[in-house]
Amino acid sequence: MKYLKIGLVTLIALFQWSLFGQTTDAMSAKTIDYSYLTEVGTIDFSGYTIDDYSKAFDHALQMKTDSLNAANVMKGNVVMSMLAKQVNAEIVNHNLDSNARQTKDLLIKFRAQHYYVYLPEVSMIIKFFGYVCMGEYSHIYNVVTTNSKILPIVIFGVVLLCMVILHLFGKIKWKYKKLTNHLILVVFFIFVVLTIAFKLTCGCNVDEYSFYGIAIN
Amino acid sequence: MKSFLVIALSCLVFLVLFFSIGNETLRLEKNERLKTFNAISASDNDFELYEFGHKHLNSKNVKIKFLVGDAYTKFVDLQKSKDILLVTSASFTSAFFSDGTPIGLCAYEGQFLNKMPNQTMDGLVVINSEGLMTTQDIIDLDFTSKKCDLLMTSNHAHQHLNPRENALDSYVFYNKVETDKLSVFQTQLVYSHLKKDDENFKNILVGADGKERRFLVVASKNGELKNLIIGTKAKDYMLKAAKDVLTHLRAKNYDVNFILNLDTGSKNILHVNNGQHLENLNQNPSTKLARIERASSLIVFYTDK
Repeated sequence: MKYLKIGLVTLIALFQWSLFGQTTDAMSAKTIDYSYLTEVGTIDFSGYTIDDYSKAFDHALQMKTDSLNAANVMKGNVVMSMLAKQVNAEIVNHNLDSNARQTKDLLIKFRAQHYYVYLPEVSMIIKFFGYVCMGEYSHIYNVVTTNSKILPIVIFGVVLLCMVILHLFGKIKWKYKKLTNHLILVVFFIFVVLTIAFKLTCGCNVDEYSFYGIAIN
Repeated sequence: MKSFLVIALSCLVFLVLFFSIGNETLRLEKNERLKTFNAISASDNDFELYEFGHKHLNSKNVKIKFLVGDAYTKFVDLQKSKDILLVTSASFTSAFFSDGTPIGLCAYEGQFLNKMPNQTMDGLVVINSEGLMTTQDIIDLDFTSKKCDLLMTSNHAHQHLNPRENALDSYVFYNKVETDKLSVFQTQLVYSHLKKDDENFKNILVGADGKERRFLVVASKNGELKNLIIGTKAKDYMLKAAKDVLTHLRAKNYDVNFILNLDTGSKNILHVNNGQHLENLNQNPSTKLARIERASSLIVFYTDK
């Protein structure tokens, strides 16, 4: 009986604790005061998490589409503009991870409302493989021969290629000849296979910010 | 060793052939000498300049249109009913190998394609298709907006709004664009008469110097409004090229109000009416993306037929 009482008390305590936890969560959720237009124009977003932004977006969208109340539509639009700008700034400042699932979901919701939040410049890697995919070799040549940052890498590549050719023609005498031949053959084989695989599949696997599912931004 | 060489060389030949997949042959137009540009004057050693006044050949009104979102189809439709004087690539998009998303605010005749202002580009262009672009059609986003209660009265109220910096302004601006069916794009405002020259060109060597440059200029000459498309023949930094253009135009007695940067990247397009037909002036681009059929956005100067 004594144990039953102790168990009951413990259960009640646990229940109250769980309620307390819920209250704390509800208290921590950020809310935007929509009472006055001047208020929604000056929202303090400090301490907002991705969840808070997502909830604020849903609320703003609800207000924005309230066809019965013009003031709500206006307030919803204003808040959505502010949220878009704020979320963009949070991502740019690395306070939010642009590759996290929740962030991606929020960006998709923004895009559905024509807010293209966070459009970083397409990376050089994506551009390179994109042009290779499209067979734009003369354009790649133009870029690499005029870009002062890429040119040293290209020169290094050309020198390496020349050395390989000299080696193949037996102009370079050294003791690792056999091993180097094998290495060149293996590298060349891998290169050919990867190139064929890439050209056959690149069309739907390279886009602005991802390369075969790997996020690059 | 010989067999190894043969294998390597045959693989190389195979690769070259394989790489050529996807290389569509560019359909180039007949390379004719340029005829006179009629109302559009042109040419200098350093710049290519196309000037538009209110009237073309002293009769028809010159109008300007911004096309985006399946720009080529819209261009073909426009071409059926209008005489095209010049068409060039306009604003920037996020993707280079597909249609992509317009960077910064962008709308076509009241329909927004992107409501998210770019935080670094300071020029906002509003086009109403009724005539040339005036100074009121360009918003310098580096300037703060005026108070909202002043906005509703003026016909050109949008010039006092700053949708990049102020959320209330953005609401008023978006409503105006949608109601009046305006077209909008955002780009770099490389010269604004609202700022001093030092402010305009303080970081003159910023960015890359690997592109030729093209600008849209709103100016006046002898009191008459002019819109100009002016391109540099040499590759240069954007702001340095803009400064050279400003100096050049001032020497020719233009009173320059705004200079806006246009896209000359992989989708670098410029077709000009040579008096007989619309001629492609970028006939040998290094990429097939630079074809009008693949354009992301276009600015078109035209008259009614």
